[in-house]
Amino acid sequence: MRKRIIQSHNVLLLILILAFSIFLITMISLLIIYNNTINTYKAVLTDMVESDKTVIVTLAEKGLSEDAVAQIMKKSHARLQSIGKTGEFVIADLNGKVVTFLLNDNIYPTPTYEQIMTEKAATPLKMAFTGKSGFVRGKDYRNVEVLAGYAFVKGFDWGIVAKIDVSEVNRPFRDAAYIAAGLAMFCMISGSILFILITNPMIGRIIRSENKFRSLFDSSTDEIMIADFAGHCLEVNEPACLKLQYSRDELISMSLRDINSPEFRGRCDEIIKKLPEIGFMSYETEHMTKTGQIIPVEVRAKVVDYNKSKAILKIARDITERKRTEAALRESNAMLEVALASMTDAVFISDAEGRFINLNEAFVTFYRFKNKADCARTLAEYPVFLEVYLPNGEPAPLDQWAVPRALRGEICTNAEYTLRRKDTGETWVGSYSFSPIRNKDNAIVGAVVTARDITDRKRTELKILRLNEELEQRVRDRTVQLEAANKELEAFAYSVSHDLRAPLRGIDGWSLALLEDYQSQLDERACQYIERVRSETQRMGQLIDDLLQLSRVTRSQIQKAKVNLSALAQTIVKHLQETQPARQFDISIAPGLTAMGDDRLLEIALINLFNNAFKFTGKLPLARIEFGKTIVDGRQVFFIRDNGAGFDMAYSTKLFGAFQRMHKQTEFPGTGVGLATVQRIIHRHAGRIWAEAKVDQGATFYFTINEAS
Amino acid sequence: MNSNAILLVEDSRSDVELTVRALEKGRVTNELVVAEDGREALDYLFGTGKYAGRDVAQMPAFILLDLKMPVMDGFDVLKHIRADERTRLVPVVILTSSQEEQDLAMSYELGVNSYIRKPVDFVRFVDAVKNLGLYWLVLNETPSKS
Repeated sequence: MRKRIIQSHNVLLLILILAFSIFLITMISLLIIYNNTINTYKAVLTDMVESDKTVIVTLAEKGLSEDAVAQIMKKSHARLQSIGKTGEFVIADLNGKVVTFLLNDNIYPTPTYEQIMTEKAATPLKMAFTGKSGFVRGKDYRNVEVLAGYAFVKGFDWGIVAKIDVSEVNRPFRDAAYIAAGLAMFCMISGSILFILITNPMIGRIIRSENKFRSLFDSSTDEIMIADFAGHCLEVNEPACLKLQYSRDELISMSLRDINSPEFRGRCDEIIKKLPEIGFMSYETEHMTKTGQIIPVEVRAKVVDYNKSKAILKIARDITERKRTEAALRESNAMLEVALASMTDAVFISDAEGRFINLNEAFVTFYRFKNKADCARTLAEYPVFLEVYLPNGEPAPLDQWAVPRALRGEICTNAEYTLRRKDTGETWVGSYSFSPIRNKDNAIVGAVVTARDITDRKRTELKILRLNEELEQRVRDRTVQLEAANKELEAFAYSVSHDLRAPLRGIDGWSLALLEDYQSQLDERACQYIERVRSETQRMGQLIDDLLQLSRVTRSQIQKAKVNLSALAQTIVKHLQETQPARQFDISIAPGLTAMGDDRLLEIALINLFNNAFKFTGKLPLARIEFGKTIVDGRQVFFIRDNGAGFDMAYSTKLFGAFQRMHKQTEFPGTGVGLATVQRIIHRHAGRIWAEAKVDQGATFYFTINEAS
Repeated sequence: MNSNAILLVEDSRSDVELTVRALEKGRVTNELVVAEDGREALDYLFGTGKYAGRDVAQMPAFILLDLKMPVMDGFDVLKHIRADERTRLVPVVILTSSQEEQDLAMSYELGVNSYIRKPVDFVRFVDAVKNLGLYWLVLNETPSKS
């Protein structure tokens, strides 16, 4: 752009020079004419004084006096027109010291001889008085520059001068010069204006297109360079400067090969050499920035016209990002390959037409191919050698296979197919997972399928299934047996309760009858024996009752509800106290103790525990019995504490066994079934029971309910 | 019109005699008719079998019924008694050694009036029978038959 402006300035300068030249020529012409004019004046003036001299000399030779001659001269010149306005004709007498102006129309005040010769320059007259004749340009008596011819007449000692003012001679020339200069100036100015008026729109257009080109040139994200066939940069765009980190001037001083990385410079030279023949080339190379950074680029080089000669247009695109993406893609592809290869499941990717574009090693094994090259690569080939069956055993038509299903958009995991090679007859079971692959427009472009050989698993599953069935059958058998056993137990319990008790009652009844009806015939000892028979009978009756309770606790169904243990305990204690009114008790029952359980069973448990507490405190003047709740390991634990006989903890393991007793029958009577019953009830409530005791220092029974939940 | 007789249905000889003894001890002097099994009890009630020709208008004051008997057990007898218009309202007291919950429930289900468990201790048995007699013979009011 700067260049163009300079060019338009040049045009203006040209106009100036032209105008100036015309002016100069005019001036030179004027000068030549002027010189001629001066010469003409010189000749005329010289001739005039010479002819006057001749006349005077001739008259003098005829013997005329100085005065007479002067008169004749005066008369002869009186009729003469002056030469120009300022022209004068003067005769000065050196001896008489008189100056005579021959022309009548002398416009200047006539000076005296003295005035002329002493004060003023009067160069022509003074030259005449030197006795010579000639022409002189000098100042006259008025100190005005004049052109003058002069002569000297010997004898009379007269000086003759004919003169004219230089200014009068010069005037027309000066006017002409002024006119010429004015005209030249006018031409110059009007020419310039005209030029600007005419060229401005043109220049504007050029500037605009130049700007457009430049901004295109610079706004491209690509590096654009123009270089000559030797590779020297002629023009570069802004991005090239920015990318390569050089200034524009630096780049223009460089060659194309310099901006390539060292290993590509040789190639660049080859291309520069070849390009003029080929005309166009596209290639990838590496540029190196000023700081040594390497930029991979894609180059399009072309031969173009530039400033009336051929040049190379080189457009280089930064492909760092593309290279990076390509590298990342390569890397992820490699990863995918490794991942696929390391998978034990067969994995294959099909395109929308059922062509398998990727498959892994496991695929080869899964479909019983020899190697990867042997694999059939399109879906259509498979029915030739492969039969596929659905889990129900029916043959699967091709459109029910995994790939067509996925290509229809179905996503599925663990679809089972049984496969059979027609060639070898080998049969196996595959678990397939498949999914369509969609592009960004959500259109299905392929399918990915994984398949796992689950033949062994199926076999194992079948085995487990069979085992389970067997197991269930066994459980059923056992349940039946158990139910039978339960029935038997019930029948047994029933007999015990009925048939065993009836004879006992007979023994007791008849023993009593014997005692009552035959007392007179029996001595005291016999009576004692009969009493013993009765007490043993009753004990056995008690034993049978306890055993029945124990078995009932085991057999009965538990019906859970919220049970108020405190209220239950109150009732039990009240009843027990009524049976032993003579005894002293200090009984404390914590209020609000509740538990989820079967109220009948819990009542039996509490009855047994309180029974024990009452029984084993029987020998104390004051029985202390406490029912309460404490927290052990964050769990609610109920306890019944007494200050009775206690027991030795060494035998505590026997405590809850049936028929296990810690005391002599004579000391504390009992069947040894009570705590066994309590433990069974607690266990049936998912609880635990344990005891702490010391001989003669009381016992505490702890139990929990629903500990498992 | 009810008689004052008590019908005892019991297969065990020993138990029958013990019951007799208990009734005596309890000073219950009503006539005691003993049926040794369920069949015999029904024969008595409906005037059939060995009791053919008995005036069936005369119903016992109450029936003491054992549960566990050969041929026909106490429940069957009870069902028949409660099913028949003539015997429907006769008080029936179960007198048994069983204290099985299910027996108790079944008995009340079938419409028994009382359930007595025979204790092993004869003294207590006498008490129970005495109270029984007092209740059913003296205190209890039965609807009069038109």
